[in-house]
Amino acid sequence: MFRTIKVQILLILVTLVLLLLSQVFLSRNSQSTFVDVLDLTQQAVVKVGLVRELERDVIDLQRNVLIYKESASGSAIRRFDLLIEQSQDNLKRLESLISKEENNEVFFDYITRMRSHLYDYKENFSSVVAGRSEQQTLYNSGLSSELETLFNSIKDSQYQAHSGLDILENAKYHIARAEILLLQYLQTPDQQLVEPFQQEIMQAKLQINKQLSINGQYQAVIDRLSLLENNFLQLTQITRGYLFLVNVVMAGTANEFLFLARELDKLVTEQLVATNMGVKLTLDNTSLSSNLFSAIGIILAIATALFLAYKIMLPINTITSVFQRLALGKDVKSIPSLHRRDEIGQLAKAADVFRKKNQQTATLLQQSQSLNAQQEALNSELVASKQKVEQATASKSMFLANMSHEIRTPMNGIIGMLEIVLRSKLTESQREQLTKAAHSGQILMSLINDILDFSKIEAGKLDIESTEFSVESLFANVLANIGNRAQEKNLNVRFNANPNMPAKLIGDPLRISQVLLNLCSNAVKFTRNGHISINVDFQLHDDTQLVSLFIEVTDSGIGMTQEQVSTIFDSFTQADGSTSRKFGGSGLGLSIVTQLVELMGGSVTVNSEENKGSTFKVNLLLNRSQSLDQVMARLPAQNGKLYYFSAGRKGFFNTEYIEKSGLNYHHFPQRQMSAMLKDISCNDTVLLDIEDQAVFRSNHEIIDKLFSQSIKVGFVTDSQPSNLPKQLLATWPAKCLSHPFTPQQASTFLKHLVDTNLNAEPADIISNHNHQTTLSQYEGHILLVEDNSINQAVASEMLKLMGLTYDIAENGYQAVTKIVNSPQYDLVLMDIQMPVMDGYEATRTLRQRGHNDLIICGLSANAMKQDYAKAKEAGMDDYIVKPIKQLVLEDLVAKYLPKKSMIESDIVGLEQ
Amino acid sequence: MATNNLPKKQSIKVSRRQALKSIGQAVVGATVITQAPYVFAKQRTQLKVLGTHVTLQAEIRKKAMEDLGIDLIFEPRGSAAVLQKALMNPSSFDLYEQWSNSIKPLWTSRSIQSIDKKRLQYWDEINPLCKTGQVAANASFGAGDAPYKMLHVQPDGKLGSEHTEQISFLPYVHNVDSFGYNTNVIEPGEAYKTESWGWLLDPRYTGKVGIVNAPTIGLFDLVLATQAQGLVKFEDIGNLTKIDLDRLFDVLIDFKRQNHFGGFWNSVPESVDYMRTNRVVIESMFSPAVSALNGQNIPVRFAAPKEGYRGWHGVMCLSAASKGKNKDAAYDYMNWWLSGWPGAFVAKQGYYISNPQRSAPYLSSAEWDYWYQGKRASQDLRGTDNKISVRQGDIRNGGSYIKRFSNVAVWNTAMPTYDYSVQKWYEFISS
Repeated sequence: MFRTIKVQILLILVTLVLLLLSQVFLSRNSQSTFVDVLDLTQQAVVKVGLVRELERDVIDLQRNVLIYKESASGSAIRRFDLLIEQSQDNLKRLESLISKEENNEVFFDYITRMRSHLYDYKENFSSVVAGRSEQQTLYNSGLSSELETLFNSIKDSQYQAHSGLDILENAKYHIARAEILLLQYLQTPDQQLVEPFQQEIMQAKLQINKQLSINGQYQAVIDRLSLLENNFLQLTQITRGYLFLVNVVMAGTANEFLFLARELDKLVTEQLVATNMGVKLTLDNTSLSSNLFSAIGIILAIATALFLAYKIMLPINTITSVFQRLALGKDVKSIPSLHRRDEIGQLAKAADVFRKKNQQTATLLQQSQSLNAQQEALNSELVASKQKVEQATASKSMFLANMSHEIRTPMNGIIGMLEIVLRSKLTESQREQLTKAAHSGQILMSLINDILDFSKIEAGKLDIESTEFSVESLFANVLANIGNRAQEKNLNVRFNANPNMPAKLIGDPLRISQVLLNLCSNAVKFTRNGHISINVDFQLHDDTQLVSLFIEVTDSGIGMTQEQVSTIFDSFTQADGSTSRKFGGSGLGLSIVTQLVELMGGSVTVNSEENKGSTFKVNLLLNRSQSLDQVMARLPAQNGKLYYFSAGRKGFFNTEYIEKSGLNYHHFPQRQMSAMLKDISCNDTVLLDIEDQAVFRSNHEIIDKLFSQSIKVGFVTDSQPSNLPKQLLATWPAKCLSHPFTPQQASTFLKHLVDTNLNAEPADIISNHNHQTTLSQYEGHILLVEDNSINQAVASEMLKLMGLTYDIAENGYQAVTKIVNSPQYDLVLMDIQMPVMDGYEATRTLRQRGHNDLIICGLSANAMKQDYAKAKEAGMDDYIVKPIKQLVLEDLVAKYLPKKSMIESDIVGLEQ
Repeated sequence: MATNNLPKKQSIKVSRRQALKSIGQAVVGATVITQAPYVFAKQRTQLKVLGTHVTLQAEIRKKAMEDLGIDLIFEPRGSAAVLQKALMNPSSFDLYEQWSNSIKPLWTSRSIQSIDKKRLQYWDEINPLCKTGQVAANASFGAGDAPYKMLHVQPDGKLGSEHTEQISFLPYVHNVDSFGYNTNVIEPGEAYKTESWGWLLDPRYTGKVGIVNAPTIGLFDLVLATQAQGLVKFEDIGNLTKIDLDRLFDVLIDFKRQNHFGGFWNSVPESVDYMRTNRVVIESMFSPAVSALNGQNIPVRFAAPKEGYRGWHGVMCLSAASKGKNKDAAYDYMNWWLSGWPGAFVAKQGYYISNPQRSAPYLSSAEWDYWYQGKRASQDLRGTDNKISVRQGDIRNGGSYIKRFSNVAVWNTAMPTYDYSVQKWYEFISS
């Protein structure tokens, strides 16, 4: 228990505290003792004072007694009484002072004796006073006056008896002698005077007795003489008495009192001295014990300090340095104080544990270092591997890109040729077979394009453009593509866009349409029957000039499981392996969508339910254009109303479009149409959903009535059945709009429907699936610069179809030579990548040679932005992407060359 | 014969009193039953005795009250005070007990009345000391007022040695005094040979000498001392002239001024205290003080000075004012004193009684031998306080009663120059 330092320190502290406490106690004690002895000293001093006063007063008493003895002074009596009283008081005070003390018997004895002496003294003095007064009285009345009377009485008798004169004279003589003796006695009281006095009185009596025999009247004198003698005797006794009292008794008493007082004085003084000695001793003792305690305290403190130093501080220092060494990781051979069983011992044990841990740590460090080295080796291997892999990937991508490019060229040739062949006269089976071939070519081409895109994206070579584009064009382009494909599977396609959408946006229209097309073709691919719905919405962000574009593609296809949904956007992934067998496809479509959307800073999500269909949602962030136009514009105000009849609340025509157009319209259920008929005037217009043949037939009569009342009628049909519009238009001179249609198409339809003036316009059926290949004929001489023979053939055929003449140059150098030699060309189609001299070089050369007016249009397989910029820079006027499409080429030609006036030339051209 | 009758009479008296008491109680009844003893007590004769501690002792009072059926009122005082009170106020006492030297003043001042010899039952047994002045044929008479000189009332009214029927005092307790000394301090001397009054003025004991404060007693101690020391020579130490006194006091005052005297005691207890407290080692003493000190194991030797003792004789005087029942009681008390027991009682304190033979039966032979015969104590003797006052083998200094009273140098005396001596005494003790 006492081994721990805590307890030891506590013990020391307790000891110190006890020491302090005892010192405090001691000092308090000694203080109180000191106070006591001070008190004692005080008392002793007081006692000494009292005793001295007693001595003084006794002497004063004696003085007053003597004064009184001589003069019988009243003031001496008063003074005497006062002194007695004072002494008694002093004795009383002394007694009360002493009564508190120990060993006071001696004092009490003295005081008692002094008191009794004082009492005796007082008593005796009263006797003295009494005696003195009596003496005085006796003398005055008993002696002095008696003597006077005596003399007188003797004188009186003188005249009566002369014969006895001598005798009387003798008597008087003796009486006078007696009086002298009396006075002498009073002067000096001496018993020896008594006898002479008595003698004289006797002599006087004898004389008087002689006279008495003669005259009896002198008996009184004799009596008087006897009285006189008695009085004198009494006077002497009294005098002797009080003188004895004063001279012997009182003197003795006073002496004894004085002696006692002096003894007491001595005692008290001794006591005072003893007290003082006691005080000194006490002080000495106190200071000694205080010094002793201080010394013990100091020794203890030093012992504590030493204890702390040797027992705690030094070991702690040692342990600390051990810990420091351990902390620095240095090795410690042995740990001190390990054997101790106190806190230091525990510290030492902790240090030991620390040391062991250190050793373990060192071992672990070595192990981990070696592991680290292995890890690093692995890492560098990994890096190398990664580089290799990346290189491999890049090589693959490059390879794919190159392969795609290389494949595309012959494919362009095949497709282009097929396109050309299909324009010629063919048997039905031939056409069918060639069409299929062309379709396969298209599929292959799209596959190649996908591969190319994917490769580019993977290789990081796909850039997103940011140009202003027409939203309507985008929609139209997409719908034209999707419409055809859906048609192939007899699927209904509906397109809805927010009519308030800005007409122009800034972004990459090519990639947006690619995303849309991919999603749509995906929908078409996985939908056997049912419909595909495309919704486009937007949101303006006023603060940032940004526009969010929401695209939603919903199909009623096979749908996906949640598992499939989670992997659908990965590369080369379709919902499952069987999917590709059922539906075909490379599985790149959605992957490309995802990557494009991400590149454009957007997102794509999917909701899908197995066997019910899927909804893909794309959210893109685009910039706003300066233009405030919207995809749908208000139509001019009309007199009549528009009555829209649909089977359900949601008809084929988006009522938002009607509202946007600003027409006064009523939307009714189709079955109410007959009832409503009477309300419809000739100024009004009727818009009617025709779902299928049955609806067409059931409403036949009513529609007839409408026409009979020359009411304007418009039909809206779904994508299927696809022959329905033709039937309708064949039956009635009406306008028909079939799904899918863009907002602008809807707007145009409405405009034509309500405006009678425009009724005469052709194109009653507005739809996108235009299979007609009627090409315009143009005038001009073209130089086609193309190194690839297939491309040469395709382009040549297309140019021929447009009635154009052409030359061919194999490379840039040839082209330059030809133009320089014969500058009769209206347009140069210049391939970019060519041997000998590429397109850019050739163009620059031409421009340098002064052929600035010559229209040079670049042809490139790279639909890259930088290519276009580079082409411009080189001096090209325009730029088209290979493979060359007939329509694109026509657009280009139409841009720069005049049309031929002869219509026949077409047929001729075709026939050629 | 009358001697034997007295106790009988008293016993009859007592029984009569008791009877009266009973009747009184019956008469007074229960109403004042608690006051009854007080009522009867008042009827007892109150005898006022003025005296010194020598004879006014509690045991004596108790015994006398028992024996006499009277109330004794003891008023013990110092010898000087006693005398003065008696001189001044005779009516304050019935009996006066002091030394023979107070007889002259008392008689002259007529404070006391003569005692009728016929009423003293034991007069005939009284030894010759007061009758002839000599206890033995060759005994000295002693200077000064020897008691026999003033016992009888002479026809002229004065006191003298001629025998008459009237006496001035009852002779009873007497002794010879000298000085006592503490043998712890002072080497014991040899009786009548080396022991001398001169020791009182021995410079070796300066400051440690005590003298009795009484001119008629202490004066003679000092007279003997100065004479023994050869400082003053006197014609008649019992009758000093004024010139003698002047010479004496010149010497004494000189000593006094050198603080030779430790004190002047006024009473016997005081003298005991002096010695006990070592205030003095040598002092004028009365024998009871010596006994008391010896009883307290303070070895005090009562010297037998070669110059002779200062003799004193106790006197029991009848107050001039005493009369009637009180006077009767006073005579009863006087007779009681000589009836044996009191003499034996005081014998144990070292005093002698005037008719020792009547006291002898009250003493053991050892006591008698020691006290009266001056023989070695055959056994331990106890004092009146029942403490051993005499060890076996002790011998009384000075010898037998006869031996001691044959060596009286001077009696306590009131000299003609008394008044002057008093004056000088005052000067002495106050100097």
